[in-house]
Amino acid sequence: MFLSVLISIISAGIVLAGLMALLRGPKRAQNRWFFIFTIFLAVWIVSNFLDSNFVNSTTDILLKIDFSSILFTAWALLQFTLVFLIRNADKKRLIHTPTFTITSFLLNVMFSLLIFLNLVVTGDISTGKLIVDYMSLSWAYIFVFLAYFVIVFIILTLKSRRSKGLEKSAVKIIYIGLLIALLTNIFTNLIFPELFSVRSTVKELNIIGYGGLLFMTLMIYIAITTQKLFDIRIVIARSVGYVLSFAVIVVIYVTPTILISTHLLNYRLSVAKILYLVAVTCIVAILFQPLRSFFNKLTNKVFYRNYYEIQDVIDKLGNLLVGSVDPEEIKHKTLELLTGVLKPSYAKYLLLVNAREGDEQIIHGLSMTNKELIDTDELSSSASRHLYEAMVSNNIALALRLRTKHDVLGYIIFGYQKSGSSYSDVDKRLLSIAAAEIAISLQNALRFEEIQRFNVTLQAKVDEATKELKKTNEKLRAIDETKDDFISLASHQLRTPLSIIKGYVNMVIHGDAGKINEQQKDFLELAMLSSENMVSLVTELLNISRITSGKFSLDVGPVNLADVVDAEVKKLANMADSRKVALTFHKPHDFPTLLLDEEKIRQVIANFIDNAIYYSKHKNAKIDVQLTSEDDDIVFKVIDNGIGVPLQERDHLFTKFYRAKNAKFVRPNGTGVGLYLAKVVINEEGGNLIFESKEGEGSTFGFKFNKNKIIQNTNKAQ
Amino acid sequence: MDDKKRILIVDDDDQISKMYTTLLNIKGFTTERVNNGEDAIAATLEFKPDLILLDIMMPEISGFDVADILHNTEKTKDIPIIVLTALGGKEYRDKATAAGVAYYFVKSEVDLDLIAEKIQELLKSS
Repeated sequence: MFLSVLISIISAGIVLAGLMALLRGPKRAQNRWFFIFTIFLAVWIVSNFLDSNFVNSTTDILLKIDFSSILFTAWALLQFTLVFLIRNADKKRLIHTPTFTITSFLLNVMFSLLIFLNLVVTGDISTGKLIVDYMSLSWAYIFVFLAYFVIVFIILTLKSRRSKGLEKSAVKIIYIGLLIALLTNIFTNLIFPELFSVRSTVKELNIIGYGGLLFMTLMIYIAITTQKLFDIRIVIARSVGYVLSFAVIVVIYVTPTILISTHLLNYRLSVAKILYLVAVTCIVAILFQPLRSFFNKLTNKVFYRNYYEIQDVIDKLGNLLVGSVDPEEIKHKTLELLTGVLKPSYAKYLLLVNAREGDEQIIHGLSMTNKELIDTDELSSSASRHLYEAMVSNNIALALRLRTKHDVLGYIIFGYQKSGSSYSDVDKRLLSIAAAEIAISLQNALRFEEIQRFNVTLQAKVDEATKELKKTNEKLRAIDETKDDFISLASHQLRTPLSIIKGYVNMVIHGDAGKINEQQKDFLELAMLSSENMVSLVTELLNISRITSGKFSLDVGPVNLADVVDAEVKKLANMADSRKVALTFHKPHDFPTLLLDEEKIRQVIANFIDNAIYYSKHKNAKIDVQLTSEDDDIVFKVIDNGIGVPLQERDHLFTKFYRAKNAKFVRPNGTGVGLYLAKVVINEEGGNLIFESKEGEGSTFGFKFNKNKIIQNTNKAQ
Repeated sequence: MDDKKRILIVDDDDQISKMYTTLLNIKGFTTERVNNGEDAIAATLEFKPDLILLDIMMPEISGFDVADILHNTEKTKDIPIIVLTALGGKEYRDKATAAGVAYYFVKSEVDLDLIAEKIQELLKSS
């Protein structure tokens, strides 16, 4: 009788665990398989117990159920293990396919049929006791049965090696449970009967086996429902503690009861009744704790309305503080929370950062006390008389200091509780804990705000500076333009008088103002030359200013270089003559027309020839001006036998204002801009500079252009 | 009327104008001078020059406008115009060409001989 109860409790417990797991996670495959497993396990336990207990005609059927259900149990355990432990999706598909599930299920069904067809086991109850005979296919049956377990163990072993943390914990728990269950059951169901070959006397021992199974079920239940890492040792410790406390309670209750009933009431208690007492005591002991919590909550609701759990409030506070960086929001929400819990008549922040006149004094007074929590009712010493009066007049009951490692941020002040009662120790403890958290969060938020403000100011400053910069740039640009205009204007204005000089001098030279003698002509020609030089110089300066200000542009048009060179040579012929330099130029016929800036290239040509004349030596000075059209190029050269350019001056020769030493000697008034301009112009026009020289022997200056600058038609500009 | 060719000088600069007047007179031309564009057009109609020497940079009406107007007026479109200006640059040349100008000279680049030559040339052919 007692045993039956025990069996029922165990089976019920197992199914209950399965049911709870299912209810907790109906969608999870592992929970569902666990439930199935518990069902089969319960069936097996019951049938296993019954087939040894009731020795009559039904025992045979029970035996068959026994053997079938254990197969299904093992199968369900395997399914569960596969689902629970093989998380790797690919591997899962390898093993735990629906195909496998169904196949193995059908395998089990097949075996069940075989069992029921007496091909695996039969029971013999002829002697009043059940004797199990193993039949022909029992080896197959045992093989499959063991296979399930072996696979489960393999998976568990593999998984326990590879997993970490929570998973490893879970695996360990299941392992222990499984091991214990297996050992106890193998021992009581297989080994023991074999050793003693009588089944019925060991039915009590079976309880151990079933107990082991219950234990295993609970372990698995724990493994699949626990989400947090926990130590198995704690579980064992708590369980042992639990059991021990029960044991003590039971002993304390049962022993006096037995003694009293035996000696005082003369009523002998049977073992069964004693066991019933024990069981009931255990149940009461188990139920006590939950009942107590339940009634606690109930009475709290009725009697103690303001009850709160400090931990809850702290948790809520923590969440709230983490979620915000805005000081106002923090202040508002914390006040909301604390007010909700403590129910003061009012609560507010007194912070140093934005304190008003009166507030500052209060803060100062409070900080003088150097206490974390100031209770007005407890301010006793006369030194705080002022403070006491201040607090009373302001209706402050409690002041909580907000302080970080280095700074005091201020205080939170609370009025008296609405209910009129004073703050309890629990309230004060809550506030103390909260103070530190709030202080840090608030400080961070305030700092963050400051940084934001700083950023905004910074941004504004940067914007302003940029605007200033832009304005300055515009001004500079305007100045630059004015400068250019100035230079242009200056050059322009310089040219006008120059052309007038040229004009009149020319007229006199030509005799338009009357006949002039040779000497007069000479003088005037020299004057002419000078003025022409001046014009050139002004043009050069203008070009330089344009180059440096980036306003240098080419005004290309069709140019006949032959004509241009010819004109320049003619122009400089007199000068060459006067210096006793032989200037020769053979104007080519049918020279192609090029696309060039005429004015500028003219200047370059004039510059080269001019230089050649100036830098010639006194004896046998010869300058050969060549203009040729070679295969792909047009080439212009001025070849002289003058002073040449020394080696070390070569690199600098074409730079702005540079004058070679020997040149300076010969022509002290040179500007040094001619060659620089020449180089710029030639490059801009797309040509290449030609320069060769040998000091003391002469130089060749020139340029060449690629023929693609030629235009076919030879229309002159009209 | 004498058989000397008449040249109208249009330039707002007095010194330049004086020089050209002197030169051209010596060369045997009759000259007339105005110093702005408006007068230029009036003078052209009245003086009936054989050639106009035109400056571009003038206040109010620029030389281009003058050339344009003269080019588009029946009575004056055949009078050759030589532009004499300080302005270099392709756009100006093109503009002048579009306005029917015969020759375009940049003052600083050209000498009087050349100018006189061109003038002779033009007047020979007319």
